[in-house]
Amino acid sequence: LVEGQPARNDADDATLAVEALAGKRWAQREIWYRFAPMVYGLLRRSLSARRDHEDLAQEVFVRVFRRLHTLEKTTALRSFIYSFAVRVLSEEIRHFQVLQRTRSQLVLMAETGGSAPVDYEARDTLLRIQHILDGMKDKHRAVFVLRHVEGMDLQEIAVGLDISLATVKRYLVKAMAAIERAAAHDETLRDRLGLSVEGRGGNA
Amino acid sequence: MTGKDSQHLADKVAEATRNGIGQMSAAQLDLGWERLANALDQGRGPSLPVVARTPRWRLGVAAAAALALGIVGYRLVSPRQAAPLRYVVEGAQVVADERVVAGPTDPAKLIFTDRSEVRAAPATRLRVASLDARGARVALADGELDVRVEHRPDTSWRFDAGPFSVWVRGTAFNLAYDAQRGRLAVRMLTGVVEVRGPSADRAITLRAGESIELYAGPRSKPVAAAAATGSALAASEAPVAKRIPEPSRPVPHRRVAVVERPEVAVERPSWSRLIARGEFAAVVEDAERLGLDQVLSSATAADLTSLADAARYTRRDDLARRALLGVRWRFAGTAGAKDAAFFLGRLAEAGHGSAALSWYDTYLRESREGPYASEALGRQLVLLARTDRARARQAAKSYLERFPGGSQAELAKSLVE
Repeated sequence: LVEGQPARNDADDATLAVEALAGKRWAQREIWYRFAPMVYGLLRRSLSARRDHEDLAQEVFVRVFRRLHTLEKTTALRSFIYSFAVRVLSEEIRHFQVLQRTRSQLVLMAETGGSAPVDYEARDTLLRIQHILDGMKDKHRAVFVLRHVEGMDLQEIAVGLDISLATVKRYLVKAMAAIERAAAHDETLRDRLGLSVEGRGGNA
Repeated sequence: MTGKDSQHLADKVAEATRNGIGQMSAAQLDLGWERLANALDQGRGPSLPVVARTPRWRLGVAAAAALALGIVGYRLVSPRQAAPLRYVVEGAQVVADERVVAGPTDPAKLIFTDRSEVRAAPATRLRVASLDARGARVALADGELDVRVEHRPDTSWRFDAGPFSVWVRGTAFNLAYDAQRGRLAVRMLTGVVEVRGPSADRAITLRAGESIELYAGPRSKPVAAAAATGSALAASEAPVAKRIPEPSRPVPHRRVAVVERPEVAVERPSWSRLIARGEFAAVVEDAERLGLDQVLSSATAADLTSLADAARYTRRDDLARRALLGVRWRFAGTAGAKDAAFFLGRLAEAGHGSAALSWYDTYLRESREGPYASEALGRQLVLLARTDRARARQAAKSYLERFPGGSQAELAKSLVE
């Protein structure tokens, strides 16, 4: 902790927003620790491994703190931050070569602990899915992630990414086509995902 | 694919993505807050303008502006300050004197503020001896490290292991030190390092693709092997060295010869040595005696690769597959992990052809110029010729362009014609 401030990780979102707006470092810190995983997860899943997701998360929070005074309902801090994350995601897709970020190393954090056997098959499955996502255009991938992983509805996605509803639907179809195409050529993945034999396509 | 299957696929991919991708580690959170706090202290604004909407016709202009601002922003937050580097440790505790001991089964990772990373294999013991603005001095007591040092003009890192030291300016390499046997092994992935013995006035320079093994021996020992390979280490230092220069056609790292110091009492022969003797079953038995789960989660990359070889040669395909998957996961990005994709393809040929094709695709994507590229493309050709003539023709053209004299050239020509 900094500035001798007591831990306040039990503070609710509204309190955090008010205190952070007043320049309290402990509140800013708590906002980071509480919401950075959400922001980073959204960016990491939506954008290919070529991007520097940590830099983008920084970008989101710098903007959040710069614009915190525009937050009307302090209880809506989470959705306020989420909207900035979607906005940065949208801009990153459009300005995709802005910073030429080069961190391409795939980092999947191992969460296994102790001496439990390591499930390399599950990890390999994840790598295969990651590969499919990395092979998609960012705009298609982002729409897929926002819809299926984040659970946003189509209209929310359209507003968040500043594209039309028809475009959202079109991107979603293309994303699914890319996933189906890749799965059709990867029998191992289909088996592991428990897809039926009748549903197999491609050269299987 | 039916609508039901399509929805099922989307759900499964989404579930795996949600649960497996994008988790933020404690170290990332800590470093992220540190960066953010610095940025807030400096009053840094966003690197891209905060705008509600950007008209599409202005995107080009905005992109150019953002490029300039972005670079400035990046510089501001890039941790290139004159202050000494700091680091955090994932997967292990820092104890007294900055000592880090990785757990018996799990690796640990040190992440430095200049974004350099040191990954310690399970049971590795190391100490961060010192830190300054240009780098760190890390003492490896025993175990194995995968090192990726961020290159900067003034970078200066040093890794000590027993009587040896490795001087780094910006590179990625694997460093292993067996304290009991006094064995140092360095395998270069990118960049250049200098390896030095006890008297630091002589050094061996290693470049990408080169490997070296050194043994700390008695001072009276002659250095026949070192002399034979032109080693620059002094005879008085008496390490026995074998340097394998980068060949014109890459060879797998596993072919690096192991030079043992004869007078050292070795408890048991290394697996690579058993493989060299053709004692494949002994390797598998040894692994089973130690416990396969334990071996798969804690063995070095070299041992896992040896185990995979031994298992393949003794027809223990399932064990070979587990070992190769272990190499790919635990040592992701290394040459061994890339090669493992090829061998997983070979194993998969016994079952589903498409699984083999997928592994060969993976290998060729990761190692387009790798030592098995010709064979991977050739095996794809053979498999596709049986199942998908259209893709086989495409693959044949690609094969002939790259390997006109390859072992599958005749098949490729027949497919193209």
